[in-house]
Amino acid sequence: MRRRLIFMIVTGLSLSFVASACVFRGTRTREVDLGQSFATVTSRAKAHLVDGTTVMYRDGFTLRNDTVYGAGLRYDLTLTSSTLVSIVPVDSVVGIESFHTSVNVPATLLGSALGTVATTFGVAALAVAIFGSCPTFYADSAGAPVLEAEAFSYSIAPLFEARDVDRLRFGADSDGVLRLEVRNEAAETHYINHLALLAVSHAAPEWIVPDQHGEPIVARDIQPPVRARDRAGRDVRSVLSDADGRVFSTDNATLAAANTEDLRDHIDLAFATPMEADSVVLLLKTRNSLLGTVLLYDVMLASQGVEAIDWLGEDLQQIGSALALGEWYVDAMGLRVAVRERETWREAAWMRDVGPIAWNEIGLMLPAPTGDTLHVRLSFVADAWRIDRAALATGVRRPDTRLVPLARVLDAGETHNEHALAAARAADDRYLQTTPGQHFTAEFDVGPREGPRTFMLVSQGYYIEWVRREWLRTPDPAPFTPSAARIADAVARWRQVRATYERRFFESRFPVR
Amino acid sequence: MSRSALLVLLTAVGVSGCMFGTTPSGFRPATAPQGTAVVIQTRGGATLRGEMLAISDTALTMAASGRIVLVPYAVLNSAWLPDLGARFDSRGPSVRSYERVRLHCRFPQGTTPELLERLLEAYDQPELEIAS
Repeated sequence: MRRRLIFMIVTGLSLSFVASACVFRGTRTREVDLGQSFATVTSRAKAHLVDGTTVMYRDGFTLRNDTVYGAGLRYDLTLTSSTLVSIVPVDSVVGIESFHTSVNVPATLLGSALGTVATTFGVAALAVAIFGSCPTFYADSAGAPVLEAEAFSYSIAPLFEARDVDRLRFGADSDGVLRLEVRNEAAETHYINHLALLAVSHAAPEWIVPDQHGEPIVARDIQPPVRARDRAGRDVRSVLSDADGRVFSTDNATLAAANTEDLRDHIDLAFATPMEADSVVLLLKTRNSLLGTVLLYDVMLASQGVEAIDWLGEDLQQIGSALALGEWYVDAMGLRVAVRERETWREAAWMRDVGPIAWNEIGLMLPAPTGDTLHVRLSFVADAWRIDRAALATGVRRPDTRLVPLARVLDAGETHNEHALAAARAADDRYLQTTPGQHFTAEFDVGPREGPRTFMLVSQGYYIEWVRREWLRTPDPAPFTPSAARIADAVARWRQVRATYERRFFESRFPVR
Repeated sequence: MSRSALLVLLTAVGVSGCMFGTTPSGFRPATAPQGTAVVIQTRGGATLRGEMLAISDTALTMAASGRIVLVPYAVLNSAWLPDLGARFDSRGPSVRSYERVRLHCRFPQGTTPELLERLLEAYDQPELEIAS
């Protein structure tokens, strides 16, 4: 099957093949076999009943023996009223259709040529488009856009839809309006479900950050580490003490030694702590390196060749596949925080990857030490993280938080777009979809300033990577199976490209103007 | 075509990369109880917009403007089903597309006399309207 597809691609559509990067996607409708004694459907479905009524299942259903179980809405013949149903006898059902996403490879390539007329953006960009990872949010600083956040960085399929909370550095204008420009600068389609702000009023010396669960924390009495040493034995205290642009990355020797048996690097931190502290917060300013991008693009997607299309479009729509991938990811990636108790390290927090584009500030709640020193170990896959600052706050409280809904969406022509607003104003089944090169402005009415306050962006959604033409050309494609060996593959590839990858990555972003 | 023009064309082809099409959440028949949308033009010049209820070998049944209407293929100039990207004329849908159209009708099982009777009663319509 794969060889036949590649043959079709090479021989039949050579012109499109030169530069194609499109995916044609559709919805496939299947009739469910009601003769089965047991079946589970996780996608949207529609049941047609003998009496002419219709039941809509938004999240699928389970067929067990002679009964259909699932939360559905039953519509009468005129479709003017509906009632909730959870049990429907099979003998009252004429048929059930389920709806699935399908991807058509030949149409994908043909589509590139057909789409040319309507597409004018970024002529130079896609030749080596590697820039990826989610919507980016920019604030306006005296006419210059300043990157504030990137959203749901690793939500690569609908089942991975995630909610991110990002601390914003900039505030509202004199009219009490906070504006963010939201861009799609990558070869991806973004599905934005919800945008909102969290507003926290606080005292001047307090520092507000989200914790690893997205809950705001008020931190004070902040101090740098008294010791900081990485696995290679380097003293990195001066690098981590201030958010000054001097950034930690893994030592070359540690990266060179990383292999399937031992992929990790670590940093041991020590903080002086007052005896009376009940709990403390580890403050980090971090982002990911592009190792995670290499893992996603080169190891997870490109290595599958044309099959990557079905993997994204089909496999990751299945709960079992998505769960296996998610468990592997949590086990292998992210940043682990352990505290030393007596002579052993006890894991105290885990922080998921935050993306390679925007700096992320976070506070991780940790138990206070019994002595006067807190020993913390940050561990991670070698060179997967960049860390600008690590500090400890010994004064901590939970603040009162105000949710500020999205007030307006202005499209690229500065026109109010009510449909886009409705799609992104609430976390529901409506999504604001953007494609590469698109941007819009999100406005929030936060009200006049009456004292120090900090805003955090709440974003929820997912994105779908476009399958690049070079991925379709992979000579010996193979299915992706999560394992430590695949992380080692990514690290090996990262060692080869790290010197130039970042520059190429940012140069290949899609221009929005 | 000059080499530079060809280069520009090929680059533009590449740049046109995109994700076309829908997912179930954006596909109306998957999100609403109605049958797929249909726009009919009859040979008499009338345009009917509505919902596909059922399809058979000789006619389609649709709901348009609160009325249940039978449209024999013989009076059909064109039928356009935008959700499915399907179009057919007085010959009816092709063998290939018939099944796809049927699956996306509100009543893929067809309208039995009993169901049609209940439907007309629900729509407060004494008898089936037939397009001409």
